[in-house]
Amino acid sequence: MLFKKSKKKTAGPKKRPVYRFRWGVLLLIIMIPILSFYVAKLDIQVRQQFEGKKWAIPARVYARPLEFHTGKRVTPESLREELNTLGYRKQENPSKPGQYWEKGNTFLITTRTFQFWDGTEPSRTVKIRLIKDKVDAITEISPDRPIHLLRLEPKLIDKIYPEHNEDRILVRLEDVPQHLIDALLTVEDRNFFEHWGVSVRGVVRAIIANFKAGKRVQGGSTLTQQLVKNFYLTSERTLTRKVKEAIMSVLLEWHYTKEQILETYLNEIYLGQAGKRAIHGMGLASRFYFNRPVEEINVAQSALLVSLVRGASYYNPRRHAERARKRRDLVLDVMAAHGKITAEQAEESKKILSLATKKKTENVFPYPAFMELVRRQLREDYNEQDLREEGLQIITTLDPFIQTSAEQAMKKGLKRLEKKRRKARNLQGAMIVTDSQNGEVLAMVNGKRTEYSGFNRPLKAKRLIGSLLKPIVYLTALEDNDTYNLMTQLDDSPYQVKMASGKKWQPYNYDHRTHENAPLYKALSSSYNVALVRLGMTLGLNRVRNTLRRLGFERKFNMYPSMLLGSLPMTPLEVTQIYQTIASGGFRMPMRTIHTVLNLQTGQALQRYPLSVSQNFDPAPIYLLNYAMQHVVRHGTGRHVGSKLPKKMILAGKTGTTNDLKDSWFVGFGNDLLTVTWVGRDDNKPMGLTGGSGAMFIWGNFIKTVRPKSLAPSVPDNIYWEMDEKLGQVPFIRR
Amino acid sequence: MIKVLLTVLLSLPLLVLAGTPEKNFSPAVNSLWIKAINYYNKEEFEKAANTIERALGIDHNNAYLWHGLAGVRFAQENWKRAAHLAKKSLTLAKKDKALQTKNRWMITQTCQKMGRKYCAPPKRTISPTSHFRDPHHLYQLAAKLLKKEKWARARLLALRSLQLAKKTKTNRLQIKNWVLITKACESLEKWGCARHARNQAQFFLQP
Repeated sequence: MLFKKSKKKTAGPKKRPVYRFRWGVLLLIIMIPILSFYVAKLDIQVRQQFEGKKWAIPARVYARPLEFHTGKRVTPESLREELNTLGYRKQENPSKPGQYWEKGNTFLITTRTFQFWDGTEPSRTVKIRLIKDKVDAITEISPDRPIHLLRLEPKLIDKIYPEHNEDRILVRLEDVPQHLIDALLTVEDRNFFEHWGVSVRGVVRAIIANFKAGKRVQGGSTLTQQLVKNFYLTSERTLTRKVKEAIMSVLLEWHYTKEQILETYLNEIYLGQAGKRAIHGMGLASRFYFNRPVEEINVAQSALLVSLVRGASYYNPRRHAERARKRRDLVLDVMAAHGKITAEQAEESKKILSLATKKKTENVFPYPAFMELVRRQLREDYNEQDLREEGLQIITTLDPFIQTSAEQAMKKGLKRLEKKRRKARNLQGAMIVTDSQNGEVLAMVNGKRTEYSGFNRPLKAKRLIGSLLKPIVYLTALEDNDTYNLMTQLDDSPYQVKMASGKKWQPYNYDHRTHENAPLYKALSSSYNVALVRLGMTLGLNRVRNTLRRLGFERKFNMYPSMLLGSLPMTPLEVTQIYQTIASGGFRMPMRTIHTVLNLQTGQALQRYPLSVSQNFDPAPIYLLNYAMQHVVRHGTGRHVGSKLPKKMILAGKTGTTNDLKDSWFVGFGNDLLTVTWVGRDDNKPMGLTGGSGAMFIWGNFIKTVRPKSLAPSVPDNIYWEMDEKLGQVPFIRR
Repeated sequence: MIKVLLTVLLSLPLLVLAGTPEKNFSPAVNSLWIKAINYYNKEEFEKAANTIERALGIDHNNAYLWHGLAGVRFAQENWKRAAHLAKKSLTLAKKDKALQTKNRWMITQTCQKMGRKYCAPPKRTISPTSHFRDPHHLYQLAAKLLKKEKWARARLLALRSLQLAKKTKTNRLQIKNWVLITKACESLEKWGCARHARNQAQFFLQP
C-alpha cells in the first residue's frame, strides 16, 4: 500500500481517509519486478549452463589396444611393461579391476572395462600362459572357460587440451566409490541432503568457529554454493557475489536433484596443477595422483583427494607430503567420528605412507613425433575447436612395445656409431615402422631425444635417398618381362650420359670399379651404379617417374639422369609410403595413424579410418623384386649386418648412401613389419657411414628385439622356377 | 525375373561370407568372423568391416578375410574398394579355385557397376599354350625329353627356346640350350650339327 490511513480520529463529519505516502512500500513495488527480473535472468543462466555443454573436454589419444590370442608373440617383459604403464597393480589373487599377478610364465589379470569402437570389453579375470614368448592359452577364471581373444584397454599417449588448459575426466556418480562421497560430504557439507542450497545453520556455525579462533578457520558455504562459485562465478570476495551465489544455489537446488549437483561438483572441483594444465574433477585427480581410475581408489586415497578440496596447492602431496598427510589423517578421523568408517579402518589407512605416485601420470607424453602425424591427419577431418573441446577419444595405431624397442635401438645405435667412427659426431636419426600389410604406422622415432618435440625428422627432413631409388628402376624393368628378368645381364662398363645442356655426366660405382656384365639381381644387391644408370636411361626417365608415382610418391618433381642414383630428396615418411607398396605385394595402402575416433559420452564411433588398398602393380614383378632384395640383406651391401641375423629370418631390404657419406638409409621388411631408418647430421655434413654400416646397423639391433615374421609372399600364378648354380631356385615370370 | 536375378546377385557376398569354411581360421579369427557375419546380417556393414579388419590384424594373409571385406564393401556399393580388395584376395587364394572364381566374379561385377564398357574377367591361370612362348619353360621341357632319350624332339624344343632366348638376350639360357643341342645331335649322330652347337656354346663361354 502506497498510502497509509491517518491514526488520528476526528469527531466531525465523516471525511475521506487521508493516506500518508510510504517510501518503503514504493520501494518494494519497484524492487519486486526488478528482483524478479534479476532472479529470472540468473535462473536462465543457471539452467543454460547446467543443461548445455558444461565443460570443454580435451581429446584423449590412445595407442593401439594390446590384443591377445593363441600364438601371438608377447614376451613376459613386454606384458609386464604394458600392465605397469596402464596402472595395473601387482596383487596376489587379483580380484579387482586393474590388478595382476605373475607366476613363472603365467599372468593372472583382472582387466578393466573399456568402451571400444565395436562394443564394450567387460572386466574379467583371465589367466594368460606364455610359452617361448608366445601366448599358449587364455583362460577365463570365472566361469572357467578358454577364451580366444582378449583386449586390454589402450594406453593413453596424448591429450589435446582446450585453450584454457582445463583438464578433466568425467565420472558418473555411480562409478564413484561410496567412501569418497562419504569423505567429501562429512568434511565439506554434512547437511547436503537436507538444505536448499544455503545452510543458515552452517553459516552461523562458521561465524562462531571463526570468532572463537580469531581467524578464518571454517567456511559456511554448502557444496552447492561451492559449485556455483566455481561453475558460474568468480572467486572475488564481495557481498554482491555472495548474494548472487546464494540465489543461484537455491535455483540450482530447485531445478536439479541432489545427485545431479553432487556429480557436477565431483567433476568440476579444482584439485591440482601440472604446469599449464589445471587438474579438475575426481576422475582426473585419481589418475594424476595415484595412476588409477577413481573406481579403484582406497579410503586413504579418498581422504587425500577430499583434503585437496580445501587447498590443492597447499596440500599438494608431492610437494608438501607431511602437510598433506596430516590433513588426510584429519579427514580420516572426521570420517571415523561420524561413523562413516570404523576407527580400525581409519588407523589402517593412516598407516599407508605413500600418498601419491612419484611420477605425475597423464602429464608428459613421450611420443611428440608420432603425435604430429596424428594431428596432421586429424586436422583434415576436424576443426581445431572440436578437437580441443569435444572430448574425442582417438584410437591410434601406435604400438608402445615396438616404439620403445625402436627408440632404444636408435639411442644405443647412434651412441655406438659415434664411438666407432671418428667422423660420426652429432649424429641424428629417424625411424618409421609400419605394418607392411595394412599401412598402419606402429612407431616413429625422431633422433636421440625422442621425448622432446622439435624438428620432426621422420616427417620433415628431406634428404637425398641414394640407392633407395634403385629398386624402383629395377621394378620398372621387371614389369617389362618380355625383356628383363632377374638373370638378365646388365652392362656395367663405363658409361656417359649426354645431358640436355650438352655436358656429359659419367656415373661411377661406389668402389670405382667396373664389373662388365652382371645379372640384374646382382646389380641390385651389390648396388652397381653404372649398370643402373644405363638401364634407367634405356627404360626412360618418364617410366621411372611413373613407377615412383604409382608406388605412392605424390610430390611434384622433375626427373634428371642423376636422380636414378638417388639425388632426389625425400622425407623418411615418403620413403616409407613407397616401400609400403613394394612390401605389400604391389598394393598401395595409404599410411594410417588413426584407427577410430569415438564420442566420449556415447562410445559411438564418429569416424573410422578404414583399410584401403589399391592394386597398382602386377604381383609378379614385385615378387621378383622382393626376391632380389632378400639378396641385399644376405649377400649384398647389407651382408655385414645380415649375416648376424638368425638364419631362419628371411627379410628383404635395401641400403642407401649418398655422396660424401652424408646420408645413411636402410629399408627392411618382412611379412609383418616395414622399417625405414635414416642416419645423418642435421647440418648435412659427411659422417662417414654407408647405408650398411649406419642405418642398417641400427635396424639390425631393432630387428633382434622385435623379431619380425620372415618374408613369405604369396607366389603369383605366373611365376615359375629355374635352377641356377649360384643362386639355387630363381623365379621367372611366365608370359 | 530380373528382380529375382538381381536379388541373387546382390546377396552373393552374403552367401560368400556365410558359406566360407571355418577350418582355415584360427579360433581367434573364427570368433571375429562369426561376429562379422552377425553384423553383416544386421546390415551393420561398417561394424562388419571393422571386425574383419581386426581379424586381418591377426592373419593378414588369409584370402577369405580379404574376400569377406570385399564382400562388405560390395554390399555398401563401394565398388572401387571392393574391386581392389577382391584383387588382393585373388593374389592370396593360391590353390582355392572356388575362391578365385568368387573373386573374379566380384571384380567383373564391380567393373560393370562402375559403368565401364569392357569388363573382362581378370586373367585366369596362364593357358598351357602360352608356356610355349616362354624360353625357360621350353628349355625345361627339352631337358626332360633329353632324359627320356627323345633326342629329335628335345633338339627342336631347344632350338625354339634358343630363338626366344636370343630375343630376350638371356645369355645363360642360350649356353644351356646349345649344350643341350650338342648332346641331342651327338645322340642322333648328326656330327656337323653337334660341332656347330659346341662351337656356339664355347663362343659364349669365352672370356
